[in-house]
Amino acid sequence: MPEDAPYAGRMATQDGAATGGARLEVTLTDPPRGLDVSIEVRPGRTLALLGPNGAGKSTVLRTVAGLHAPGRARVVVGDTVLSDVGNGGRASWSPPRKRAVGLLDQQPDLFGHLTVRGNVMFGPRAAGASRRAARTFADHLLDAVGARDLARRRARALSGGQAQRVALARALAASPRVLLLDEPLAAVDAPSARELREVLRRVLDGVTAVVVTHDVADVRALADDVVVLEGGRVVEHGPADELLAAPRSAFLKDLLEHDDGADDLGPAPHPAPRSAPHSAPRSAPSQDGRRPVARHAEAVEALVAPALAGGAPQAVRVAELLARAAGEAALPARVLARDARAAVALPGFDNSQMDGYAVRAADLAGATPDAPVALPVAAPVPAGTSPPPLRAGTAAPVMTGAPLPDGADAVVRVEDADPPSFSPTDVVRFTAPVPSGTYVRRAGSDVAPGGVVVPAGTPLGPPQLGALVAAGVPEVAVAPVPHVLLVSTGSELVPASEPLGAAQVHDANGATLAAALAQAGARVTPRVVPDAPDALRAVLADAPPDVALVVTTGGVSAGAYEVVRQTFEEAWFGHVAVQPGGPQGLGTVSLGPRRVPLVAFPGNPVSAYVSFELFLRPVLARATGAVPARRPTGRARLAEPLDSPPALHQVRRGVLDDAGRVRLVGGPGSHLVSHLAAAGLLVHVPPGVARLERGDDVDYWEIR
Amino acid sequence: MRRSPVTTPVGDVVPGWVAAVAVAGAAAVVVPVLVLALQADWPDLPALVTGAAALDALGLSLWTAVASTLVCVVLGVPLALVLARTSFPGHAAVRAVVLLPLVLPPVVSGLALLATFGRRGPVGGPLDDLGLGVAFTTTAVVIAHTYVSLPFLVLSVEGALRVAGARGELAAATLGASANRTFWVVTLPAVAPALAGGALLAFARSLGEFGATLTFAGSLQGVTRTLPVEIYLLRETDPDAAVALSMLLVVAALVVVTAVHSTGGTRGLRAALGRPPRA
Repeated sequence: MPEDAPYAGRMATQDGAATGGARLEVTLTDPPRGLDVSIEVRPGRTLALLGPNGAGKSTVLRTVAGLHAPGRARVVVGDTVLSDVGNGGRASWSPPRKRAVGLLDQQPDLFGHLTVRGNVMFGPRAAGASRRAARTFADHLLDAVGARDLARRRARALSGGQAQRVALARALAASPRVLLLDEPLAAVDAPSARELREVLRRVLDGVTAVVVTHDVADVRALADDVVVLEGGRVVEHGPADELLAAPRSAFLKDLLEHDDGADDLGPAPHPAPRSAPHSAPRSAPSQDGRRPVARHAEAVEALVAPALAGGAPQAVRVAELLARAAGEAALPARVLARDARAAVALPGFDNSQMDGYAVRAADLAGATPDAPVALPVAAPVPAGTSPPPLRAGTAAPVMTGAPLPDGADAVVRVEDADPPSFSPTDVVRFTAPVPSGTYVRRAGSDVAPGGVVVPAGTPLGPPQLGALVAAGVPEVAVAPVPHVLLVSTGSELVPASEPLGAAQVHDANGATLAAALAQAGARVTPRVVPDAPDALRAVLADAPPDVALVVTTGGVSAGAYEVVRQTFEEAWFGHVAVQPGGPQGLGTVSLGPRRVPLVAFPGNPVSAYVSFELFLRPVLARATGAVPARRPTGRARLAEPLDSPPALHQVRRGVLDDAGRVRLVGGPGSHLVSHLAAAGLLVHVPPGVARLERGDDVDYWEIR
Repeated sequence: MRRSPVTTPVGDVVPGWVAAVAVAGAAAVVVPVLVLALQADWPDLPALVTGAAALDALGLSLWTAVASTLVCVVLGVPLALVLARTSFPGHAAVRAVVLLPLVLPPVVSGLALLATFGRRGPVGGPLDDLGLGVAFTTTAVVIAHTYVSLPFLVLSVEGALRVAGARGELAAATLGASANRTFWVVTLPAVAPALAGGALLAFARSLGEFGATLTFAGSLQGVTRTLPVEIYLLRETDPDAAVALSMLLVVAALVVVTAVHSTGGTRGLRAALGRPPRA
């Protein structure tokens, strides 16, 4: 029954009904509260009103709704002045019910004794719509917010998320010219909030709206413009995308900081070279102490990369390297510390690029199809032989890669000659002239003697080794293999394969990280120390002299026996916005006369491994060239839903199932070593995401 | 449903002596009624309560109680709403005075009504001149009942309104509803259970009213002699009949108390006193 028409039709023609939107202008001054605010919202746009508690956001909303009368206020919607108080002239003030300003509060405030449909019908009925028209319109809006199936339920029997949906439909049903939303998702549980935010994003399109929120996700999803209030004043305003990209106010910066890692899967690409190799890490943590993942990765890189790049280069014989690779079934990871220069020219002699005839270009100068030049055929030149000089007026058959006879300066492909094959013949005819140098590889055209064959910083892989051999380079200078002192802390730890005492565990962290460090091209000296600062200091005092980096696990939390924290008092210890692997430390440590970087990971094996992947592996890989710095990445659908703390970047372990979907292995907990061993993927859930459903796309890194 | 399935042993929460005193307190309320019931001449009860005078008194009591309850609702709901939702100078004083009949001795209430509505009173005089005198009429009975019962209804509804809060009404205003529409569609339905409970309490109070009625309305059979007054008069001449009629009032009282509890009608009052709405 197309009963939509009567009431919805009335709405559409109404100036600035929900489908249109009117301009909103609000100015208010309230000296006792220190408020002095002026805000404009253009028709159909959504303004996010941000600011710390007590900044005056709610007062602004209540003033617009007519629920609060500050000292001086002027509120204009469209062409209608709703409030004009204390500005000289005759004061005017419309009561809330005459404002056509909708309010969606944190609490839905539904009429509990009415049905859901009765709640939504309330506005239309108050505006004089017939029961039937109001009912049709209400059902239409319940559809829009995805609550149609609740229509007959008693409003007091709804969950928080359901109730807020219905409250939204009820507010829209009253055809507001401006809709105010006061932290509309704050009292809704996280999964419902995500759905409801999507509903809001849809229905607010084209509606003039002001939304007060503390959640960046709301701003991203809903806002066209942003105003930041602090201490009762506007400190920042502008288009949402601009402000989110380049926040100026301290409040917005801080708010976004928690959200920073949202699009980052890890460290940024290689940053500009850092000065001051052993300067303290950049350690200004965000205000609640949680550092975004990308910031911590940068800090680790800034501290560790220069330390790994230092150290005297070592001379390595190329032949020895090749012999070791062949003997050990693995190519040792080496990065050139200095340019490798060619000992000989490449190629070492002029040679032919084609099978054809070596000629003197001058002999063919006048050749045409009508008047071909006929030349006697000289002795052929196979590869690996040193030919006699080419007499003028002859052509010598030459094979690809074979040296060009002295005197010849060009090659004519055999198929361009007559006959077009190396048939036994005494005379060969050419029908076109040939420029000098055609199909000739000149000696030294690849690399001249003394030229750079492989530049410094290049990892030595198969093509590089081939080039070195070709250029006759017998020995190269390579960067020293970084030596990492890996210290597992914990009185309960026993080194791998030694017998366990009571309440003791094997050092899984040491095993995992030693292997991971080695795979990333480092030499590792593993140590296990109990939770005693003296024991840790003893291990450091006894460290090999060439250690370039100290990595510790455990002892970084706020517990009573946090040996790493207690020992390295000058280092930065804090929380990074990641799960697992939140507690982290970064600083430098004295090893004899030298100071080397210290990277402290948490003690849970999964946390330590995830920390290594996020923060240390890329830096190490770039320094050693052993493996690509970036893990292979991918994106696939989830085979199951997951929950994630919205403030943190969550890293889950997973595998790809047969359908190519990401299946999680183990829970978010950080202690399940066996699950980690079964995982082939690190699954990234960026901050700001509280829940992903089955079928949602996730990004992952392949870790094997 | 009204009884918790879990019983709490007395000694755990309450000292034994408190429990003993509580038993004494309950006995003080229940024993007299039980003894009275034992004295009642149950076989002759139907005959005793169906005498002309008794039936007159019973009928009068019932309909005046119903009438005064209706008047209480009509006067009390607006009063409760104004007290709960507005503020004005002297608000606290008005609230205290409205509750005065709860604590005033009924005979004093009767005298006050007589002074006002009597033939020489400021209201009664003009009415009498118009031939609408109320003193010693059935109307006087209704006025006396209303006077003593009104606070029960006001207290119950006002408490419920305060508990419910004004947020629903604010929401209705932002949805464009007039104050009148909001009152009928939002406010009143929200406190309907408390209103029903308050009305039952007012009805019960009216049914038992004696002092103010005797003082202000007198004791004319069929006109102003309500059941309690009849019982009081019979007490000297026909004690058995007095006891029998008393049993009638006891039963009526029990029915009302049960009804109030089963409708959850005291929810507003109980919530106002800090108890969860669904005990």
